[in-house]
Amino acid sequence: MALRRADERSTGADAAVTALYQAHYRSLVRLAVLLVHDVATAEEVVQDSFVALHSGGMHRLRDSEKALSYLRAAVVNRSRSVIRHRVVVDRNAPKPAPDMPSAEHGALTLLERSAVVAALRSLPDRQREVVVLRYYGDLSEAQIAAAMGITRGAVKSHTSRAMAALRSVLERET
Amino acid sequence: MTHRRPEPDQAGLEDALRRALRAAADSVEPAAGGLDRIRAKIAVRRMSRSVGWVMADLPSRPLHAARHRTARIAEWARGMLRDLGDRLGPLGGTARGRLGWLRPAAALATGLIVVAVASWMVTALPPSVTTAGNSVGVSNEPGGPRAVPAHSPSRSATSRPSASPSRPTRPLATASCTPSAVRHHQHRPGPSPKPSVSTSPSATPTPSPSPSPTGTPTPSPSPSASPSASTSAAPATFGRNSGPTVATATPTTRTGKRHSHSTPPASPAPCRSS
Repeated sequence: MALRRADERSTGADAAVTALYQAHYRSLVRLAVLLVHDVATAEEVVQDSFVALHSGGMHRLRDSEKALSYLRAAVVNRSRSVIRHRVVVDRNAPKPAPDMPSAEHGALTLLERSAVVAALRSLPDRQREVVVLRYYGDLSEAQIAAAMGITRGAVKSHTSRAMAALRSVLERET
Repeated sequence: MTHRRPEPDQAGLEDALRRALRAAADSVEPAAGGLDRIRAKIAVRRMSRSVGWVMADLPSRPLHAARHRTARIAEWARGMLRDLGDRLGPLGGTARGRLGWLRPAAALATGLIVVAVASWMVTALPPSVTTAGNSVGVSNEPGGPRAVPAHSPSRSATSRPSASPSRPTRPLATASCTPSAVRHHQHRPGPSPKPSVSTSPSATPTPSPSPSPTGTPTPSPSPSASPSASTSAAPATFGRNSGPTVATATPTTRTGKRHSHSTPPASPAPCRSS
């Protein structure tokens, strides 16, 4: 009896994850790409977020809205972790030769075509996350606050500072 | 959406930012097979979790059961104590005042019982001590002086080391068990060439390893130094051959006392070796 229930639960969770994947996987990967600047890493981040959602229980999977907000927050947090880890790795790794392109170079070339995206990369993590979630994800301040785990006032503050920094960078370039 | 109305410059920047972000992100196409990878990760995680559960749960199951059992016992004992306290609770008020005389009465009764038992023991002690001494003497017969009955006159007169004023007091067992007494008689300058080695109870049970001056290696026979008792009963009782030594019990003890100054204390080893 218990085994049958567990099987049913597992099947239901798999179906819910499949539905969420088909609906939001692509957008979440794109969001993650804007945060981590790397497609493969972005895919990894999103897939890990789906796994975490699956193991989190059916109470999250039943409500698709809750599941999506959980996925978004997970993607943001994991992207932040990836960037933090990358900073440490870059600090300790030997620098490549000048004529040798880095591994991320190919993935980032596309993003760096835009001056805006290049300016975005120069922002601090929190400000970049706020900007991406707001202008790419079209999230409200409350949703951004929930996804980042900060207050709405902090969201406003990060947003205004990010916009000021972007404006100064873009004006300097032009 | 609670966006503040943007300024014209701000609105242009926001539009440009939005467009740039969309253009950059929409060009990214995730690789196929993402769902399979997610399923594989879920399967691996589920398997590792189940294995971890089994590995973590197996050793802790007996401990958990024991802890649960102990908790149940403790709960039961606590409940019993609580019930007992509830039942004895009324005694704390008026009933305790009414029955307050019970405690000193019980103490008095206990004291009386103790006194009665002590007095009975005092009256019953001497025979029991005598019996005990006899029995001990029989059992420790090779040791010597304890073989003498408690009421034996020779013991009180002759064999006590403390009886001699000049001789330092030694324990009875040491004085008796050592062959010193035998040596007393061996070196005895006195005229008694009798082979009776010792009538002192100390040397009696040990057959003397060294020959007596007369050359007859008669072991010291009688545990009882009294001349009357030494005639027949002692050897039969203690299983030692006393033989002819019994008649000279009293003089030899005197000489033994006299020579005890010159003889050094001996170790009890020869006594055991016999």
